[in-house]
Amino acid sequence: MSVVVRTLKPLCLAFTHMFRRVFTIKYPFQAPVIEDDYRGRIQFFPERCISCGICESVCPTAAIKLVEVKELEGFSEVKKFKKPQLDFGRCCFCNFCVDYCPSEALKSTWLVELAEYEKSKLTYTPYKLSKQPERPKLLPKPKLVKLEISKVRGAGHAPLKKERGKK
Amino acid sequence: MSPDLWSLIWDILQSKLFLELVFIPGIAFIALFTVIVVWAERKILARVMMRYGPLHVGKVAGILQTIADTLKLLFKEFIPPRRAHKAAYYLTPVFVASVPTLALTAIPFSKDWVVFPSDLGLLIAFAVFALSPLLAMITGWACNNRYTVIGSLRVIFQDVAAEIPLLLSALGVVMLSGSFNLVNIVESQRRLWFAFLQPLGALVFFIALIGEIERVPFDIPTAEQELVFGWKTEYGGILFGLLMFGEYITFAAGTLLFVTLYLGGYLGPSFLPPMAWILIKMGILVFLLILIRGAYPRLRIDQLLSIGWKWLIPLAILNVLVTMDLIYFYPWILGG
Ligand code: SF4
Ligand code: SF4
Repeated sequence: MSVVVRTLKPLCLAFTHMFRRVFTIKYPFQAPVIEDDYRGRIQFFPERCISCGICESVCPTAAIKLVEVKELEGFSEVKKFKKPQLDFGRCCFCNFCVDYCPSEALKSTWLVELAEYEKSKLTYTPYKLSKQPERPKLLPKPKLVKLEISKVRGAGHAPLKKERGKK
Repeated sequence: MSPDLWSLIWDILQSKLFLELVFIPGIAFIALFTVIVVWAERKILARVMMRYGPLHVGKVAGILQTIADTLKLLFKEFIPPRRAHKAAYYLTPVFVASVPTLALTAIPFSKDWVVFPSDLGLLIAFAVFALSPLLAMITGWACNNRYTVIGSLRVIFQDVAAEIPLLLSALGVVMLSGSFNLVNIVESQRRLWFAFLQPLGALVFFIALIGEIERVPFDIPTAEQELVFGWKTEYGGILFGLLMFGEYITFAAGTLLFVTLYLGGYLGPSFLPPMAWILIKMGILVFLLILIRGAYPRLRIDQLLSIGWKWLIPLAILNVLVTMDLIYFYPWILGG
């Protein structure tokens, strides 16, 4: 008898799964909320940087290069010091630079949509790196959803409440 | 054109054979079945796996996805392998797609709606089923590729393990109805479907049928994860489309045969026409087979052989013996 039960159980399970909620997020139309300290695009705080070069030497993919910045580039108070320039075409988002930076001048952010049409645009100058992360304008504005795991309904996602939709 | 020719064309257009060949179970039915079942299969499997499946083509639930895919296949290039047997390579997909349609000619869709009414309808259907492994073997050999050859060898192994119990369990039905004529078989189920009279035979037939039409969990000859795509590996473009088409026609023929033999074929309450009943029963069976595909993992070839030889064939023989007893000791079951 147990053979019959064991044989039929997957079939019943498959049938009940048909009425579960769908796990897929329809990506360009929906997007999951990504927490602020996600390992996304690196943000740079120039006023904290002491130009020690640790980030350059610790980066496993040699994505960071210290370059000279000029006042013209938007930094008024920092003068002729070398600041990190980051090539996101190489970066593997390991966060070593963030962890090793002695003055916490680098920080990872939630932005993961970094695609560009030209490879050169992936190289972020220190000035570009210091800007707030922003969702690119090319994409349609997605509805944000929140991932959740519940014992009753299983893994899935639910639409986000208004007050958290700041991104 | 002379009026004679026009009246001849008009006669042909009106004749029942023309309707049968063009609509049910002809071209329109086969094409529609393939389009809908491929879509439904992708959709149901997706829901079982908690995905969406086809979603965008055709606005409503991706209903036109299969047509878009067929168009894509039509325009794709196919590249025959250099060492392949060219004639066999190009010709077999045509046969693979057309031979299983012959099985549909024997299936009654109502009492007088059979393309080829014959006293040996059941044998015709089985003969056609027996042809398709041969075609698969030729295809696999013609491509001259290790995967296709292994795939076609597996087809032969599987065929022996599945076809013998299939025939043996159908023997029970033939004994009960006393005829190979599929119309007679359906008519003798008016009192009770044969699925209830011999559940064992129905079960064996069902499992062997899944093996015969090479669907999961018995899709060993086309095991994607081990054999690339089994005996269909070297095909692309519309030739591959034809192979898939043939697979789904076999699917249709197999489910229709099961409905005819065990589930009372076109019989049903009279508020719907007989044709609707057989199609509804077929739809339920197709849904069950798709669900089975979503639920079970593929078996190994040796597991399939041990199921076929050690379980299905003895059970089918047992079923024949039980049916003999039934007929001898309780003839009232047959209504006689
Ligand atoms: S970003 Fe941090 S590690 Fe890199 S040079 Fe500046 S202070 Fe040093
Ligand atoms: S995250 Fe890793 S790879 Fe990217 S720049 Fe920092 S150290 Fe280099």
